[in-house]
Amino acid sequence: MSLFSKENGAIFTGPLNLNNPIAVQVLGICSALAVTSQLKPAIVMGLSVTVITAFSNVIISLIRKTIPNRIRIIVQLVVVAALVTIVSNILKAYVYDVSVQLSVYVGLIITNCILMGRLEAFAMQNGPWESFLDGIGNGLGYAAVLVVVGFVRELLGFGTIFGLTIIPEGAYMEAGGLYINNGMMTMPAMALILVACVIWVHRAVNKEENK
Amino acid sequence: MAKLNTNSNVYTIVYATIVVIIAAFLLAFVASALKPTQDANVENDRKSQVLASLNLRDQADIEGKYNEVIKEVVYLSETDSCFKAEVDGQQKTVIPVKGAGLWGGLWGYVAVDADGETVFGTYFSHESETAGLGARIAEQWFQDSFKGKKLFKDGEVALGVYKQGKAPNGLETDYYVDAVTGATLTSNGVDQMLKTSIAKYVEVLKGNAAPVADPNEGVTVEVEEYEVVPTIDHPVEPKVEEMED
Repeated sequence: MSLFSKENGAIFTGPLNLNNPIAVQVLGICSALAVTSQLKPAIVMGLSVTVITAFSNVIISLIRKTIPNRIRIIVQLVVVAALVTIVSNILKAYVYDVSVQLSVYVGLIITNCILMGRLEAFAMQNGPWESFLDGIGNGLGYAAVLVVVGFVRELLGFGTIFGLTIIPEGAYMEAGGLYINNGMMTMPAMALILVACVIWVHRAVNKEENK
Repeated sequence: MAKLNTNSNVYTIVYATIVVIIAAFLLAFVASALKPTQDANVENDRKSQVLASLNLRDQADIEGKYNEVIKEVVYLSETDSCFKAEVDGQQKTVIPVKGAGLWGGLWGYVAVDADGETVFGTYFSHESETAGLGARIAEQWFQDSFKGKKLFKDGEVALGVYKQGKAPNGLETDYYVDAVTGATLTSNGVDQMLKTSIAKYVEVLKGNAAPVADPNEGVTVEVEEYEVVPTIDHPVEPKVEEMED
């Protein structure tokens, strides 16, 4: 079986769209609400989850035949926890401001349902390469939703994108204009509503496949 | 290769042990390899916060500007120290403040003019205040509202944060700023933080403090590792999520 066969392509693209972890499986919502108030932490969080899912998938897949069945969840947790700690250390060393913004949520990747779900449902039964593709696909599927939500929340909540001002200063009430930032967008509750909107649009577009 | 019984007790225990040992070594290696870079980041962040209180925000060269502006560190005790700074030829004293908000710690710096009384600038940050409400104390408009306020009235620290129209009777607007709307508890936290922290530095501001020697001086490197340098960290403590106010 070649590395880029149709089956492997489907493993990769499935979670991006028709089997999206957030939009279809509704997993990983907790962190999606917490880190999306601005675009930059949302992207870093998405990438971190992608990297951790992919590599923990590969590691578990490589040792899947040796793992004692009774402690398999514990072994999976050790692998994920070790990877998360490493990523968290790297963030602290190289993108300090982002790691401050993400604060506890990097550590909480360990409890992200997407990771444990992929390890248990996919990596335990499949080879390393397929598991790698599955991990990347799921991570990016998760990241895509985070980016959409983060974009809308930062634009409407702060009037900025990546910290750059988009809404002209003169348009604000303070400067005599009519515009005011929507403080609701900075609250996690609005993220839940936005995620629901994403799921709604996704279901509406993919009506046929969902039946 | 003989087929191992992966379900036997011995295999399970040995397997778990090996996995944990490998993970432990890996983590120890990564943590110690990255520690210098991380410490530098924390230190850099602290310096940029001190500069922000001196109204020197968004500096390109934080290290250089810090060394240029901060002239002296005044130690009052092992844990309390403040900074003497010089901005545009004017003497300033930067006082670190530390307190508690609604959900977690608050901290910041207050820069005071040479008269020991007038606020030159402030910087506040927080651990986990509510976004859009309490978290707004970290925004510049709130911090700038302290500029020019007075610290002391009748020998007591009077500088405070009060809800509009709720300041104590007879307190002139020179001595307080308006609280953040919708964030009463965080604002009260800032108020308390200012009063308790500034009180410790009264003598320094009056110019008749008796500073102690730098407690870091003459300390061996080994001990220095455990020395609590007055830097601001971002403690991550497990906490129970509760309803927002």
